[in-house]
Amino acid sequence: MIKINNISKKFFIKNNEVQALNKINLIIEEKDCFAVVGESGSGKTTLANIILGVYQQDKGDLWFNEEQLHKTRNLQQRKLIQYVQQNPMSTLNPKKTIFSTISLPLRIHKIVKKNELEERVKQLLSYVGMEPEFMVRYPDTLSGGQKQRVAIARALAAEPKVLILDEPTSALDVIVQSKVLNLLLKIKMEFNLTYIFITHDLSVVRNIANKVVVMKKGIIEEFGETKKVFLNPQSIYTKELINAIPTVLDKEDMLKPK
Amino acid sequence: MSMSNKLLKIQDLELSFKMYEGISYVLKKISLELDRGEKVALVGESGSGKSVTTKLILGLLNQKNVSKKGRIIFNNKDILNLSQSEFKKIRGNNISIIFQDPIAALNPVFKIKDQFYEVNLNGGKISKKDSFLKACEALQKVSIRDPERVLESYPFQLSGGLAQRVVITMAMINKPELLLADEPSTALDVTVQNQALDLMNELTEATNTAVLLITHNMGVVRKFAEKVYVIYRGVIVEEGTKNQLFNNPGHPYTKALLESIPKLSGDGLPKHNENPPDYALIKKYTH
Repeated sequence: MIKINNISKKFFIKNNEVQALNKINLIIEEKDCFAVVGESGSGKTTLANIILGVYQQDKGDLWFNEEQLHKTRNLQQRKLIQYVQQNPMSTLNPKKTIFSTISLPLRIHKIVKKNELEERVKQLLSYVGMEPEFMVRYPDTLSGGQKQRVAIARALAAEPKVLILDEPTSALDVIVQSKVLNLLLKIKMEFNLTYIFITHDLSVVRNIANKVVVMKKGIIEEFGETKKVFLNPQSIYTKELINAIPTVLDKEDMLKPK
Repeated sequence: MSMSNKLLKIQDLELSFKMYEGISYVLKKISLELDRGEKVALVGESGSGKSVTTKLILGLLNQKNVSKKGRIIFNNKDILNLSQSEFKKIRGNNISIIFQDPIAALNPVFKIKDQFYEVNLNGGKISKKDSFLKACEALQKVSIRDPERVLESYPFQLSGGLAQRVVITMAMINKPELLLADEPSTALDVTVQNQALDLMNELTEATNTAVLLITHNMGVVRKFAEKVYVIYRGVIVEEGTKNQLFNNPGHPYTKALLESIPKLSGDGLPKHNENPPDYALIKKYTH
């Protein structure tokens, strides 16, 4: 569905050259829950930004089905891929009500008529398990988990095919985190979505992703089916990452590679 | 005697905020104890009252709308209602703190060396040059290879992991008796998180410093703490040693906390009770 072909990206910081991505090749298939794992600075977010069209890659090309995507995209292309960011506190405009936040993509992409906006926003809120009363509220009156739900509803509003989730739960408590993850899985089934799930939390990856790519300093360290990668990691770095997971059960410790 | 061994003893601590909407009761008679050199975790979700507990210990809640009751006994002395000038002597010397976000914890407009100088002044008179050397030595000990460069940098020039090492070193430089660690590893990557915890462990062990670790991550608790208190909406619902709590959790909320962590075994995500009971009403479980 998405084909990433030999993509490289460099940044220039003062006089230093930073190779954020180095010849990345990946194929993301339809209905995948595709996890991108790595530490800060590994190039996860740069990759997401190139797929979204925020950055232009230096080399290589990006395909969505049969269509090549560039940084400048038409409305139809922009609609396909939507984004949920890490920090729910800073992703919502504090001066806009939840209604105007969620209805913005509906208006931009002309998904419903003006008089149906309210009905549609209510419906979107119900998908993420929120009451219609939230429409008139402002972001700072919501909890972290609720804000993240609003961000998900906003991403769904454009009726995308692909959702890029950039650390959607790392700012949340464990209990809230697992509620949001359950919600994401439910939505994925309901709308036949493809997820690109960016995270450094490997225990989450183990439970929701079917494929995982491990990145380090802009290079792919390991790629494969989640189960296989966790049972038998090939690269030393992947082993390190799995060993670093804070576990709560003895039987989990036994699963860590030596 | 065991009495003198107790470094911190919190007894029936109550805290409430007077707000426009009415009074909000944040802590409802919590009690906890720390021995010298002991590593204790206080676990709970956002809004449970973890962070305000550390603020009370440091004397940082003095606004007009705050009402507090109970006792915080540190070194056999009640410090709950000490004056700010007395607290100034304790902060940084006897009790220090590490915050969640290391970049935000450092002052963005001062170089690291100047922030070390301020902390070093706490221990008495010191020249800027000596302070620099002292900081250099301390940073070298935590395996920072180029301490001079780090000290001459501004906080935004450091990576998250490096900044957290700096903050931990800064908190430990005056060899405090008690270190409060408020989610010290939540903002970090898994590998860096482990390094930060190991570093905290190493430094506090060397000076026999007690640690009160505030977190919501049971995995971190299991790695670091010896004794655990679970707090829910201002009530301590369970206390016990690490082994008791992980092998035999007694309170339904503790169980929920443990279950909500995705497991490495990959058995799928935990299912949720959409209408959980009010855990605060269920009796406290003591092992």
